[in-house]
Amino acid sequence: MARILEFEKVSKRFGGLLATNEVSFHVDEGEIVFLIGPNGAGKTTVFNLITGYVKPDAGTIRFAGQDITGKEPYQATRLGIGRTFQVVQPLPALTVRENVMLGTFLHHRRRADAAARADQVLEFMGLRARADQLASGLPLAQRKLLEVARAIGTGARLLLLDEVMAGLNPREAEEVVALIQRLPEFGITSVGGVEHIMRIVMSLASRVVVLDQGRKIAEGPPAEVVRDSKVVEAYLGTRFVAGGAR
Amino acid sequence: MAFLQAFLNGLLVGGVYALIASGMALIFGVMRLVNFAHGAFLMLGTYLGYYGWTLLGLNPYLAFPLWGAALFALAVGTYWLLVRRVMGASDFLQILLTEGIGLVLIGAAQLTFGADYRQINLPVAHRITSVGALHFSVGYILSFAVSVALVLALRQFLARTEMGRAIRAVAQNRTVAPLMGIRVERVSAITFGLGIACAGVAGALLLPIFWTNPTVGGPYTLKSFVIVVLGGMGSVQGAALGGLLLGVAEQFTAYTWADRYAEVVNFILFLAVLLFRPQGLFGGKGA
Amino acid sequence: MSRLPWWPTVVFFVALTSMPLWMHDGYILQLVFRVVVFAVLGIAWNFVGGYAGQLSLGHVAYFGIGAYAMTLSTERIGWNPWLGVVLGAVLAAVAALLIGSITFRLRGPYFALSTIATAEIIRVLVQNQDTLTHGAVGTNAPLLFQAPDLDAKFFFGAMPLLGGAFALATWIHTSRFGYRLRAIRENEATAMAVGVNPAVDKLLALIPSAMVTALAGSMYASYFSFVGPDTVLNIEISVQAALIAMLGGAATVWGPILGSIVLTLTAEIFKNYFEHTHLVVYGLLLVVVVVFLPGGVISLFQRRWRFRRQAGPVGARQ
Repeated sequence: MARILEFEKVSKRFGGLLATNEVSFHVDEGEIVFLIGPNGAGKTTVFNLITGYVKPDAGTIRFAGQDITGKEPYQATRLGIGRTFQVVQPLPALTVRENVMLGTFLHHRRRADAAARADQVLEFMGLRARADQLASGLPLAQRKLLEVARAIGTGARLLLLDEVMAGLNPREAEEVVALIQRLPEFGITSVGGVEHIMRIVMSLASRVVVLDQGRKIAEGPPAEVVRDSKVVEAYLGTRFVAGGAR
Repeated sequence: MAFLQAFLNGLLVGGVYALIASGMALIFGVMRLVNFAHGAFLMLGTYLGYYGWTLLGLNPYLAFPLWGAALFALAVGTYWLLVRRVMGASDFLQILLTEGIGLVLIGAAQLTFGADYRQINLPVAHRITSVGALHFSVGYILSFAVSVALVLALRQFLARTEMGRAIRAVAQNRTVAPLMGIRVERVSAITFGLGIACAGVAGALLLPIFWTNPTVGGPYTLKSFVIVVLGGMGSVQGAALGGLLLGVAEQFTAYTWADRYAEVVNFILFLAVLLFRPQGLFGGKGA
Repeated sequence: MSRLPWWPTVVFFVALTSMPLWMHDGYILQLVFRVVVFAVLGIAWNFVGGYAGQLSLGHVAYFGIGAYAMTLSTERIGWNPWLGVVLGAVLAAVAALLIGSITFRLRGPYFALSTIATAEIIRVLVQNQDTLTHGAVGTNAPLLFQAPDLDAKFFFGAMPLLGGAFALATWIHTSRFGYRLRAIRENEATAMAVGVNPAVDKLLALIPSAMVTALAGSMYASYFSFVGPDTVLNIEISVQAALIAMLGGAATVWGPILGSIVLTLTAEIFKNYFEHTHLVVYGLLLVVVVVFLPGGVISLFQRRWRFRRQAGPVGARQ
């Protein structure tokens, strides 16, 4: 199975804080891998490192075999990595369709083609009816969907979803889960996610990577990982580790 | 010796610059607003000083609190009417608004006062005192003294009074301040008023040693930007030091090169600091 | 983008271009000429300011470069003034590369201030180089056309410039480059996430913007037969460029044309009643636009703006 993302011994320091400490993990094509960990563990930093918003101090990042360490965000996108942001960032004065077109323009020169492709993506995301509305007028759930739609539009092969479920009610979250499972229809074979909602992680992930204070402390299928004592300790403290107090 | 003279003259003028720039730094630090109308309000201050002297016989070195209060009131009114509406908007719109306000003030001044240059003849201002081989205009000394006193007073106000603390709180964290019971809008209005009052009073203090006309403010707006950037955006302390520094730099340029290139030095300094040391020469943020 | 059919545009341009044939009042021709030149200035500014959202307040630098290049090359090297006009555009492009690479590194108000600084540096240098540039006094600019019928000829000369700028604006408006610029304006981080390289695209917008501005500057200087730092390097022109585009409607093709019409006519009307009113007029229009009509006059006619008025503050901070 091809490795679509290799994140090797990457470190990043912000002033006195070692946000990422020799973290290594990979994503194979076809996998859905989630990064979990307590707040401040450095999960979003990992995404920022992959997509170039932050440059690593050490380590290598490879996408589909190509070294992308230190590349700029626009380069990462053009190579096939799509991402959403924890705090949704639509292009407010543009319509929903135009937002997605910014993605589809990457592979379609003419406006008509880009618009047509954008409409296909919107259809898939259930946003087709709002295509002509301004992005600023959308409620949160739709804005999250728009963000995903835009990333899909860029023709990504790997999609990085940063806390896409945050702020959604259970029904909305279920819809997003269903969509994520259908992503391969749009050529997105692999997904990386940062998530806090365990239920979602358990149902979607093929593999889970656990970070705590910048270091990877566990990795494996979700059912195994949540029973790992190191993971429980990281989230809840030593008293809750199964088998008694230390 | 000429060097020392230039240096000291620079400090004297720099004191007034410090006052002007402190006002702008205050506004920027608290409201994140770049006030393109700063110089226009300074110009209004000079006209208040002018008419105060020629019509009412009020010496600007004594009447400046009046002019400061008047401009404070005008600024607060401007805030409530106009500036308040762009507080959540993009920098783009804020800049255009303050620029527009500035233009209206300048245009109105042209219509009301005419475009010609005006000066006042304050005998004390033109006297020269000498310390050894150094000669100083008494006017410069007085303007410097009042400006520095006001800058120090401003510092005390920010450090010791409750409103001062509220202002600093908003400067540090605008979102969280309301949770401390601070009425951010009110603080913004008062800050704007104070910042403009600084510019206006500086204008009244500059009148005796220079002159005025409706367009006299423009260069001071730009100078204030340069100073605020030098001192570290939003730092009132930094702006004060930056003002002195710019005054000296200007005098040196005029002395060693040519008066007319002094302006270019301002701008090059400005760009250099923005590009290479954006936190300013004296670093740090906050009022 | 525009729901306008094609024929009003054609009618407009035909009517405008043919004006010297049916309008014989020299004063009106001159007025319309100024509207045209400033519309071109506004359209050019719009590439960078309206579409890409970068508030340049230093566009007068390119205006002045165009004017001075034409004048000085004719005077010192003996060139045909039209060659000087081309030179002006080329020099403006070079200046844009230089100025852009410095200023675009800065954000928000710092960017705007730095554009003012660079334009002022140019002004002060020109103003003080008495031997090379005739300093603060300025000098006569060459005529691009020969008498008689100068008014008409300048008019015919300005029209292709307007037409070209209009065509370029239309292309940008509907092209994927234009969308990339809008993305940069709305949110640079998001723009990068959709494959946009803001540093490059901003420069790609600035260069044609500068060149067209330089052409407008040359035309303007030649018409009034004069160049001087106060007339072609004056910060007021930078403000006018921004105002015209914002007043009519930033990031639209027709906006700057509307804006120029409104601004020039308003200033002209007031000028006939009071002297020295142009600053008040500009200032008031700026304030009115920002507070009441941030989308410009054209937003009164656009459906999208009715959505936006419901949706929330324009250009709200993220």
